[in-house]
Amino acid sequence: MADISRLKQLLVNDNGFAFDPVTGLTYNISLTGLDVIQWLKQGHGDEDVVGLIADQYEVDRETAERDYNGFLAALHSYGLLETEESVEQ
Amino acid sequence: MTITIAVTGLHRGENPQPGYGVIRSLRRHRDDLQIIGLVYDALESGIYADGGADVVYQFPYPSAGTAAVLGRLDYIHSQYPIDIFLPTLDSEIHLLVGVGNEFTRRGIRTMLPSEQSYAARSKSNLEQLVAEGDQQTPRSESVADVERLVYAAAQIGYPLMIKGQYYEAYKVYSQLQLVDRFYDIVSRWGAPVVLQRFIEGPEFDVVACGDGQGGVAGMCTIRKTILSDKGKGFGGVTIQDDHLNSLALALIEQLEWYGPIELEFIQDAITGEFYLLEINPRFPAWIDFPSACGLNLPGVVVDGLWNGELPSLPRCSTGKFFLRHSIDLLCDLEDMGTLAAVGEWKPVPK
Repeated sequence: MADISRLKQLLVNDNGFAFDPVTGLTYNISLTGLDVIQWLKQGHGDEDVVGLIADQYEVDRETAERDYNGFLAALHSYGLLETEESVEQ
Repeated sequence: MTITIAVTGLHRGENPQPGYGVIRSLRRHRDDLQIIGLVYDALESGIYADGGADVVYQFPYPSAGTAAVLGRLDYIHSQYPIDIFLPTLDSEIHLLVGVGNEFTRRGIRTMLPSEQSYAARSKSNLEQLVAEGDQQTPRSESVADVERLVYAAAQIGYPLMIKGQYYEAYKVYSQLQLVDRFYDIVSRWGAPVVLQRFIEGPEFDVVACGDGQGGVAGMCTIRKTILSDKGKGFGGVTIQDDHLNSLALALIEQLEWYGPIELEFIQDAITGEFYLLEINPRFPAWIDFPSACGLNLPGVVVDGLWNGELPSLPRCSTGKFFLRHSIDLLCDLEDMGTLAAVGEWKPVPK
């Protein structure tokens, strides 16, 4: 489970425009990405989120998992998500 | 009771000065003000902008020396008794730090740092300052001649930044460019210049008003979103980075800074570490931006000097941004001619 404290600070509007008040960077997030962020903020774990993506977007679980991991990697590269290892460091 | 405040640095344009932004902030803050604009050139654009000074006087360049500056101030003071003097340019503050008693003797209030604080933040002393505070600044060398310039550049490595002692900073890629820029900067600002290792990454600015005891009366942090060719922030967004704020506050505490201060940082794009680029003993040109957001630091200075106690302002809200916007001012040649010929001019209120 990743540390989502930075993600919680992200200010996101309904159109997918996001502002990071720590770095000053802005992002455009897809509607799917918006849902994922919302679910993560609500406290859903990885397995839950993958299941929600599969249900909501009518894709198979494998596709949902691949897309979810890709999105997590993007969040991580922008410093918006920290893995437990990086937090420990 | 009307407070009379003298403000310098009214030029806007490609390399904007803070004075006009300071005046706009003061106008936002209170109505009972009479503003005197002190200018070096009749073409300083802020002279003719709406909401500017109530009266404008030509003023000698700091290079004319303390006696000339104070002499002119005495004349202006005899025409419009000055309550508060807010110099906004580095070269002026360099001259005026240490002669605060001259203002006190005249009944003029100023908010200037101590000589010790001022010297400790100079570009040539920055490495020592950050080392004492366990912070970082890009490797720098202060040089005054071409031989040492070339040697120091070889030690630091290209590309690097070359900076004037008060203003201007350029990125140079070769010895040829370096020497060319060296003569260029020295011709305007004199020697020495500072060479600084170039770090790639986003730039950040912190503006504050120090209370002289290690604290601040208010502080605003921005990420620069648009940089001009001269490295000036032509756009920025307010942020709240606790780590960056703690670095800035630690430096202000270390300096026991009194008055306006601007701290410039760069964040290494690879390591994420912040490096202090420079500390300016004044407000930045974008000072009216936080004022418009509710953090009016020029207002804090005036209230502090007037009431004898600095008020404490809340943090600047995040997610507000500014863009520098140029417009053409319509001016009457006769007005400019009066100021140039007589040395003073009073705009007709609109």
